[in-house]
Amino acid sequence: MFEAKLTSASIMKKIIDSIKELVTDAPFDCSEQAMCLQAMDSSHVALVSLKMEVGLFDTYRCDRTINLGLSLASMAKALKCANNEDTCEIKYDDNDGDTVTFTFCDTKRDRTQDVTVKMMDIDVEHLGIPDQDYAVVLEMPVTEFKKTCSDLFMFSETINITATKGAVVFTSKGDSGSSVITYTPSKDVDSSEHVTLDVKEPVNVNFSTKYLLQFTKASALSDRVKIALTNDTPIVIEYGLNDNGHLRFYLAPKIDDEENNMD
Amino acid sequence: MLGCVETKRRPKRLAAMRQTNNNNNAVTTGFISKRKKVLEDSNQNQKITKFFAVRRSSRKTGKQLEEEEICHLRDAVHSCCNEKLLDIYTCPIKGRGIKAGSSFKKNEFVVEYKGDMIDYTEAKEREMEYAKNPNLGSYMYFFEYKNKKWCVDATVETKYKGRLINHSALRPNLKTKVVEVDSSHHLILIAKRDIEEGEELLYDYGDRDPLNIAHSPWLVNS
Repeated sequence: MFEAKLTSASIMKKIIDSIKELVTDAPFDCSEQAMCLQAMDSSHVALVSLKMEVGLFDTYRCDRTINLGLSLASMAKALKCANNEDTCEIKYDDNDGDTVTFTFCDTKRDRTQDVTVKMMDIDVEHLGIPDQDYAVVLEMPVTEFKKTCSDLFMFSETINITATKGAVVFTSKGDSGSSVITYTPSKDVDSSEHVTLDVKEPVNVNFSTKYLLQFTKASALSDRVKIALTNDTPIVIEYGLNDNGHLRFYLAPKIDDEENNMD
Repeated sequence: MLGCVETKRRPKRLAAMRQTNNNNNAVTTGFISKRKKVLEDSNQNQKITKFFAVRRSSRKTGKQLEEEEICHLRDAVHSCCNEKLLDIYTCPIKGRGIKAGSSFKKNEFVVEYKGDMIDYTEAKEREMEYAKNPNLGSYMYFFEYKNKKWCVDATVETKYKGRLINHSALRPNLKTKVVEVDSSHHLILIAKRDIEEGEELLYDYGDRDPLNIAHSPWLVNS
């Protein structure tokens, strides 16, 4: 038996909307502590890691660890039925066989709606993500990061991120022109728009702009985004979920031979 | 100029990206046409699996379960961890025997019948040798595996308890099974039914040789 109720369906909507183009089918691992999801995109370049902790839910009950394999398209369809203010209950009963029920309840209008989604048998590969200290940790408003990615996407497929003690530089060079965006840590750290930068070691890495831009679809989930980098290691883009979990995107770096291609 | 080529050629959806990747099997040799350049760009993406190792999925397919079972059995056979679950007791009639120190589920691995794995010819030679000493008990288990006769000779006293398990043709709770572990085969005993803690473990020695029965009538009537 698994039963989890969210105060508002909007958070689930936002999560699914931000990953459904990257991942088609997803196995939700439900345990006593959290509802988690880990899935790669079809080309195995990016990895989505979602953790919705118990604290995020109004009520949460999970008798035993279960894995709910769901098509994100069907889930999005189900969630489309919900209004943002509706409560959203996710239910799975072992006796019900292979379906998950989403119950949306509009408390003001005394209306409830049940949407049943068929589960899928997904054979997934779980990746072991090592705990590691990143050389650079950058935090900024989600809007800022989104603008950076879409601005740079106009020039090139590849984004170069270089960080030194004092600044982090995003560069994209194309045939038509180039763009360079530089961030230095904000002096006014109390402002909600501030940028923080922690550099242990300098980095210089390349990533696919298309993917980074894709990740910024999660901007609705949080005000701030955390970006962690280390040379020759996947970048981590993290959106917090009200201090009760996160949605993380990992992206493998591009092969570093820009001399041959970018000139 | 290239930018135009890119936007036209590129399918917008990420799902289509892999196809683009697969199309490109030519990483060019110096000569770079515009088209190739575009494709090469997307091919530069490395796989995330290069950085994060694939773990066993928490949802298991039938095949995985089977593999896991084999793996588990291998560990159990190698580590002899079940030995401590068996208690030796002494019975005035039968001598030493083994009682279950924990419960076992039906078909669960209980213990290996550990001894020298020898072929039939050698076993017969040893049997003749042992026959000269009437004090030696019978600890040779003959069986057939892949059309060949084998024998586990556990005559020599060891710390392994599989050899001490008594016989019962009428009410055994274990049965023998030959398993292949890391390309060598082992004779193991598995639970024929659910076994409670404290029950005496018994299996059918399988010896129906009339001569042996004449000497040891307990082979058929116990």
